[in-house]
Amino acid sequence: MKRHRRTLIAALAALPLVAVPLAAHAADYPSKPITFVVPWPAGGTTDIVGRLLADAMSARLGQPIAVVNRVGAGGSLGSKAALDAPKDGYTVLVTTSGNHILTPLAKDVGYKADDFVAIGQIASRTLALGVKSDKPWKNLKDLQKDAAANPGKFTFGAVPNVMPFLTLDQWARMAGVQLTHVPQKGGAPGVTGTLGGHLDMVPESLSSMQSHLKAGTMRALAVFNEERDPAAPDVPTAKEQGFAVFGNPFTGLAVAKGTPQAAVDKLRAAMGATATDPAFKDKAVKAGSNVTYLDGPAFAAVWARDWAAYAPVLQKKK
Amino acid sequence: MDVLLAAAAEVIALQNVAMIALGLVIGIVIGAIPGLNVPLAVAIALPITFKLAPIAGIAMLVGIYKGGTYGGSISAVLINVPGTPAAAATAMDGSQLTRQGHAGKALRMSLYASIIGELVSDIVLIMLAVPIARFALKFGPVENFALGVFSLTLIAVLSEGNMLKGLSAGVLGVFLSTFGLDPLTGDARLAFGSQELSAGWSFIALVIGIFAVSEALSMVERRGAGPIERSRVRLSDAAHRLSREDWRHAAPAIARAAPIGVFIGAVPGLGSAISAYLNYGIARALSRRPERFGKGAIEGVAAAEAGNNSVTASTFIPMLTLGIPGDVITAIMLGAFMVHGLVPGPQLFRDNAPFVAAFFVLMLVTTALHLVIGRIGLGLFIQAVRVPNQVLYPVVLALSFTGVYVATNNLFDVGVMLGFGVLGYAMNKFGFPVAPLLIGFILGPIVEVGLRQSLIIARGDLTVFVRHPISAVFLVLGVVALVWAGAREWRGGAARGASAR
Amino acid sequence: MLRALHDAGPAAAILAAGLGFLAYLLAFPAQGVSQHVSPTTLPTVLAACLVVLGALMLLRAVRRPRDDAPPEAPRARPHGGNARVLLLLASCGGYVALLPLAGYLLSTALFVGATAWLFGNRRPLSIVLLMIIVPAVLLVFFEKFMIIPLPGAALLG
Repeated sequence: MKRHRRTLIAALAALPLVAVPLAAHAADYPSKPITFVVPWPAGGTTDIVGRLLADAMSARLGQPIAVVNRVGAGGSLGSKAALDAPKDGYTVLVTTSGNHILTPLAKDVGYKADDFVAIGQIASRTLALGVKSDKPWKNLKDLQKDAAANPGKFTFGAVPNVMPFLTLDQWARMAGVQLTHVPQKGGAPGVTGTLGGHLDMVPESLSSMQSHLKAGTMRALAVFNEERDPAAPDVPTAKEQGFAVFGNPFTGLAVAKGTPQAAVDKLRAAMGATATDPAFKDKAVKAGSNVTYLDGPAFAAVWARDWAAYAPVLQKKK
Repeated sequence: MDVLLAAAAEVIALQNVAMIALGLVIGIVIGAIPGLNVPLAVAIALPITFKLAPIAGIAMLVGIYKGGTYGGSISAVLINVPGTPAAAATAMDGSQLTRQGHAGKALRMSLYASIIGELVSDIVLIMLAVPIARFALKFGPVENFALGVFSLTLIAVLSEGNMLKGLSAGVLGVFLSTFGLDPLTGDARLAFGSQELSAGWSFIALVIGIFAVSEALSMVERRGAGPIERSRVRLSDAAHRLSREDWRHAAPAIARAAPIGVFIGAVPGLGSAISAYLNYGIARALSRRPERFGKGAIEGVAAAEAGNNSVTASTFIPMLTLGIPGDVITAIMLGAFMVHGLVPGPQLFRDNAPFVAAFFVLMLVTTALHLVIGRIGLGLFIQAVRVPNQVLYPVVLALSFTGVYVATNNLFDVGVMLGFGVLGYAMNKFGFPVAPLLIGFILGPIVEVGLRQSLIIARGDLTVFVRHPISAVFLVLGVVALVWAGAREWRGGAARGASAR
Repeated sequence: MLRALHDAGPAAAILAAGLGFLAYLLAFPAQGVSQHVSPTTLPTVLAACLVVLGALMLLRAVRRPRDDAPPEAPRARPHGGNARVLLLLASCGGYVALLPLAGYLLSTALFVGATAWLFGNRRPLSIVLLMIIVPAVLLVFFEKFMIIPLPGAALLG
């Protein structure tokens, strides 16, 4: 509503430049531009997927979609902004495990996962444990043996308390070894540091080390999936190697609870049609994100699963 | 060579050249607007480029990247509002030249120094990509720490004749960079319980506050002074042309800044702002007339801009040869490469040699077009000096506020900008230089992160910094710089004392 | 005397700020695992540096009030300078406060008008044109061209 009043003022200021239809009922949603809030920086993986989705969904919804980066505090600033905006379906959060599950579990940020309604999941990343190819380890058992003999000797680079870190941490505890954590400011620096020999290993998304795996400069000891990733079929899962450790950071869309059902339905339909469109899938895959689409209810189930899985780990740290 | 020639034919296809030109124009405009920066422009353009052919899409992105990295200097020179944080280094002397009626000189120098920097960077990318990438990869936490410490010692050099105030400004800059949550562990420190402050002070808000807002405050205090020029400004006037004398001062600065910038661009995680500030500091340290700096030294503009733009091709070195994106731009470009089925890394040169060659030619063509488009733009942009203050400053302020809001989508950061405007105004009034503050602010995190990561890896063993050869060299250079600055300061102080008596 | 104040004022401010932050940081509860350098180590060292530098400058200002520096040329101080600085700051603050309430167009128009007046613009036509053109151009550029939303109005919505 407020945009329309502002438009009135614009007209009063002798500016009939920005005329927009005045009535906005849930039935004719969307009748004005939509905003996607990305709680992570412009140019990152989440941002790119968000912008691709915005571009494709805007054609289906018939309204422009603005992408806004609201960065800070582990993604909680953007999430909170999306939650506090009018609950009319015109503000959509591009959400990830980090800002949706991990940040609210670790800190008191004023929202929980189920304060949002799931529109759908667009991507689920595969995490892999990468080492430089001159390391002797070929699989997790090798690493376990070596690390058990040398407690604290081997380093890994990861941003603290995000999913790659938590996943490797969980593996180390399960394997009974002690690894030294070198905190990083982002995922990419960890891969670079591993490649440069400054770090011994890095848990990161498979896509961020894919080119190094192909070039033979890095080796992946495991992926932390239920099944092997089709993008790297010869990398075994941790589960196959006897460690039932999983970590699948997600990216998807959400709106604040209380948004009219009509708007939710339209967004879900538009997202579903976009995500299953082969042309879109193609672009997303090439931009580094495998499309693993889940509809709203299934995405909400993922939230519930991850919230339950990480609550004991993160709340203990608090 | 044949491959390059064939590639040249492909790149010079009309569509690609048009895309480069379009990208450059978009980049220059977005770069010149405070708050809008290159990563955002590239991210917005990315979905559009997916609809183009591979080379055409990448051509547009490269145009935006090079144009946007340069564009910040235009507003920095003309209205003392750095369009990008890196351009703050250009603003220090560029805006002074404008105030003295030499806007054309500063604009010309920033364009030409940028182009020379780009050209050197392009050539290094084409000729030496592989060895440079191997060397750049040696830069781990230890080396980054030492490079940061060396760069911080430039603050002492910059503060000559005003040592206590300069050092205070530098320490304040580093201190300000430690606000918010700890970048490594996420623990609370100087955040004062504020969610908004948890990511620290926004660099864009800080820079625009310290330049644009503080400038507006001192301007409104003096009022007076109408426009600098009343009649139509002709770039061909002697006051706006670069004299032989100007080039004599600027040439050595560019000659140093370009290679240093190329190297900084090749090290993942550093980037154009660090290159601009570091080169500005080095130019002043080695200048024969350091007292001119901050008062309209053409070599200050030259060093900052050559440093700034000489990263624009070398950032692609680690990306192309090793598949490592060194910054946000190359990360997005990496995505653009992948979209077209090209996987950067050693195998790219083997499997897609024609594409790599086309990319090299593309870089060169972009640099050439940048010169042409930039030169045409100068004649238009310089007319801004005719606008009287009573019209200019309302526009500048509205643009600054809007730009900062748009950059972070957060009114809190608009308030932060205002606060730093007051700080900058006070610093000017009481004779504190702002350059050390900015250098400290941008280098603080590199030093801190490097130090802490190194010590974790070395298990608290401080000798690691002298056992790594690259690190040892930088630390020795830092000590030399300190001793030298101290000696000059002591002698200068003695001389002043003698003359006073 | 004024000169001494000119130097001592900022020195005292830096000293006070340094001491304040130092006290705040030293009282900070130790956190996280020991990693050789804790999150608060560097800020604490820097705050201490500020204290030392502030104290040195204060000492120098009090002991040698500027006798070693060449006297500054008296700056031309047009009447009412300080008042205008304060007014400009107030209108900036007012603008930030008004933005979420009155929306982008109205508050920017008011802000542009106020600053134009403060900068000595006394031609009504020029001021009115600025008030209309500047917000409109910025709004169209950012919202319509770049598709980045600007603040809306809460009061009127």
